[in-house]
Amino acid sequence: MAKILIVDDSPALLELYEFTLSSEGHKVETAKDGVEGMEKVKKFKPDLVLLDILMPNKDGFEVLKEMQGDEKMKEIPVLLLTNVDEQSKVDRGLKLGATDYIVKFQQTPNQVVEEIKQVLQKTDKE
Amino acid sequence: MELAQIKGWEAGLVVLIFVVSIFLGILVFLKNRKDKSNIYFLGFSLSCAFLILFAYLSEFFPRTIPQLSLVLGGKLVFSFATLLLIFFFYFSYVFPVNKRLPYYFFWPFLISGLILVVLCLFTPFIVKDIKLQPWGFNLVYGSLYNVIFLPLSILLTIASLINLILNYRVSDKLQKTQLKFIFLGLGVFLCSGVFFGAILPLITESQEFYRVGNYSAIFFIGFTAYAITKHKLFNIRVIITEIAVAILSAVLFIEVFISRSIAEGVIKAVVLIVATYGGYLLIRSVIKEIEQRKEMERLAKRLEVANSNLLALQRINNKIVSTLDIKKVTQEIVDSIPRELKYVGGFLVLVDERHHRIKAHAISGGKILKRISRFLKKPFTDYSAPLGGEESAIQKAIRKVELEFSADLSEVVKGAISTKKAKAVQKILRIKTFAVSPIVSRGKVIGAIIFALRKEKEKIKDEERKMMSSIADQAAIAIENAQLYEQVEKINERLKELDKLKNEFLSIASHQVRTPLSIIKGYIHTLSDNKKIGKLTKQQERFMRNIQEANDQLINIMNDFLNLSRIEQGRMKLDITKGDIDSIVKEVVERLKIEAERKKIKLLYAEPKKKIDKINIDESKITEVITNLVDNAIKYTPEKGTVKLSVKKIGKNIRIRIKDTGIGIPKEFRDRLFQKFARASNAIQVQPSGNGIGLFLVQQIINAHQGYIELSSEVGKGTIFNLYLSYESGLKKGKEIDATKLSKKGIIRYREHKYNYS
Repeated sequence: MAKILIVDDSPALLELYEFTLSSEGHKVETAKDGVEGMEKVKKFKPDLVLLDILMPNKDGFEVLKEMQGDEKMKEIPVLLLTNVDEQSKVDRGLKLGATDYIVKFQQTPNQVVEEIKQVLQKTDKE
Repeated sequence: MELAQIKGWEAGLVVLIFVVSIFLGILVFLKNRKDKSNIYFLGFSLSCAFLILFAYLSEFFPRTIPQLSLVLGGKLVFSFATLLLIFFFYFSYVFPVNKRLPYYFFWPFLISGLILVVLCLFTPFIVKDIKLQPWGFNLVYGSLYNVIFLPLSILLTIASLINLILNYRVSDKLQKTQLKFIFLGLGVFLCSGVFFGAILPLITESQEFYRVGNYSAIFFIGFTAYAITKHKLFNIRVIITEIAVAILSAVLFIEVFISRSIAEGVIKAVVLIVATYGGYLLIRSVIKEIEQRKEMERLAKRLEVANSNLLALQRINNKIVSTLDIKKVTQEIVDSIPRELKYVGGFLVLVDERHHRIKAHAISGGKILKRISRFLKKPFTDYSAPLGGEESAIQKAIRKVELEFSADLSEVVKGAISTKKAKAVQKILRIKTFAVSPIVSRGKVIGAIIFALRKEKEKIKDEERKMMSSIADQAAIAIENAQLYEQVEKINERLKELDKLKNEFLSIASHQVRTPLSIIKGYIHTLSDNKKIGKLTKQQERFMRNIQEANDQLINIMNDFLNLSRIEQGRMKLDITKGDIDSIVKEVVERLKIEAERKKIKLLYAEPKKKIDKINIDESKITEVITNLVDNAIKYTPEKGTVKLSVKKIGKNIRIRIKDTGIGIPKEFRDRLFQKFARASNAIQVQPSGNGIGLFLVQQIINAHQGYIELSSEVGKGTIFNLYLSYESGLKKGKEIDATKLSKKGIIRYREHKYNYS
């Protein structure tokens, strides 16, 4: 039962994840690019963000950087959504403050749900 | 021998000498009437002849003629001696170098000589009287003998010798030989003259033999005549033969002369003629032999020249073929011109078809280049002339495809540099001739080599022309090779570029394709398994499954493509961790169980009896490998077959075995099995789809892990893949591997044993 923000430039993906996550009872907001993403982070104040890397108008890395710059936003766990499986890109994201990453074409929506649960549990404990 | 005989002999000898001297003098004169040497020779040979004659005739005078005549005889002898010395002096001045006798030598000596002759003949100042002796007589010399005659004769003799020596020093080889002969003759004459005229009388106290010294003058005359006329053929064998024949003829002649009866005389004359003719033939054959030998020597020399030319060409060739760089090749060619041909140097031009120009390409370096560098405002290779403009020697050579010569640089390079500059350059380098040799490659003229020589065109031998053409031929081949190689290199570059583009394309395409694939995957999973959507009908479930499988296949293909391009770029990175092979195999089996069941194939895993220790591997990649092999096994095993997996620790290795009862791999196909995009013919029959990348990647991954693969197969029976991974691979966590390097042991091995594949 958490507030989750999904930022991804693919509307089909947004719809899928929104459906999946709301079926689990989470409150879901979506954003289609980095700019909208930042706005919604400030307005919506989510408990978790699913963040795509490759997006127009500000990519995932930039969003991460901005979030790290803010005291409150720093605390929000971020899961990177990506199709690249190059370790270097993922590492970069992790260095920039992402909590973990999800490889879209490898993991099923159920697995994503599980992942999210684990992350939220961890942050709740902290 | 009786005195009479000896006297007879002597008479014959004198006649002979007289006749021969005059004969030789006339012969030499007739041979070349204009040459002063010949004229003076005639003079002194005549003088010598008469001198000897009168010296001899004096022998008769005491007995038959009054005393005055004896004195006259003596006077005549000394007159002729004077004339002889003067003529000889003149001769020594002009022979053999053909100097003109200056008037200050000619007239004074002639006049003083004539005066002396007059004095001698008509006054008692030189020869005054005779004193009768038991054996003959002695001459009594006049008052002026010691004052005029003796000094003059000594002066003339010494001056003649000095002349000859001076002439010797400026003579060429042939002339020197001629002079050597004269010295030889002179030497013989002087020696015998001194011996018989001075030494012997001292010993025997009689002047009886002094005349022999005079007679040896014939040698002097003979040798000199020889030197003048036979100046081309100085060979010791010929000379000895000629002397032998001459002596024989002389002896026979004298014999005729002293024969006592006409009959004897006739016989001896016949013998003389036969012998002389025989001798003549002998001399001719000796000369012929010598000439032949000389011809052989000449040919041998030509052969030697040709041989050394060949060696030079070989040296040039060796240097040229050692490089495929066109700049180096052409530079090597022009540098060989001064080095091998010993010319001043040269340069090379090539035809540029596209721009319709003749372009300078290379010039022989070193001192030449330095000296003319101040005339070259731009680098040498920037010079060019239009093709087909005013015809230069270069253009002519190219048009006629022939070796062209020119004595004028401005004519050679017309159109490229100004006439003034060309003339200046030529002057500085003292070049007399330019030779332009066209370079012909495959029937077309592609350029020319220009040779610069310091000798006239006429002095260029045939062999040199051939050399120049040969060098141009070598240049043609070398340039063609270099150009072809350039093309090949360009093509290679292009291919590399294309390969790179292909990889980049694959990368980008794969990435971009993944997005929709992942979306499809997500939706299918959600549609199949979500509470909100609800349960599907059996048919819907089945259809969903089909879509999912197809989608998974797509994802796998994309993964393979990406891996492929990454491997080709050498970028396979291994994420090394301590992995548990047992659990990996279990996972794979679990995942592929469903598919195996659908094909009614038994997929079994024989768990290891002892626990297998963890090993440093890239788990995801090894998983991929095992998945690929099991997938293949399932694909290529017909229904109701079995696929068995097992894991075993053998020494320092882990062996993962995948055994199937499938269609097997034919022997012919083995070598290509692990290549990209290769699929066996029987495989295509069974399973038409399948991109054939899988085994290639399997190989690369095992290779990167320093492991190896063992393969056994029998068509129709089955296949066993044994994967070996080593605990001592040296792989460490986080290590990056360059996938292009091969592992030491060699990756794929084949075992021929007949296995039980079930």
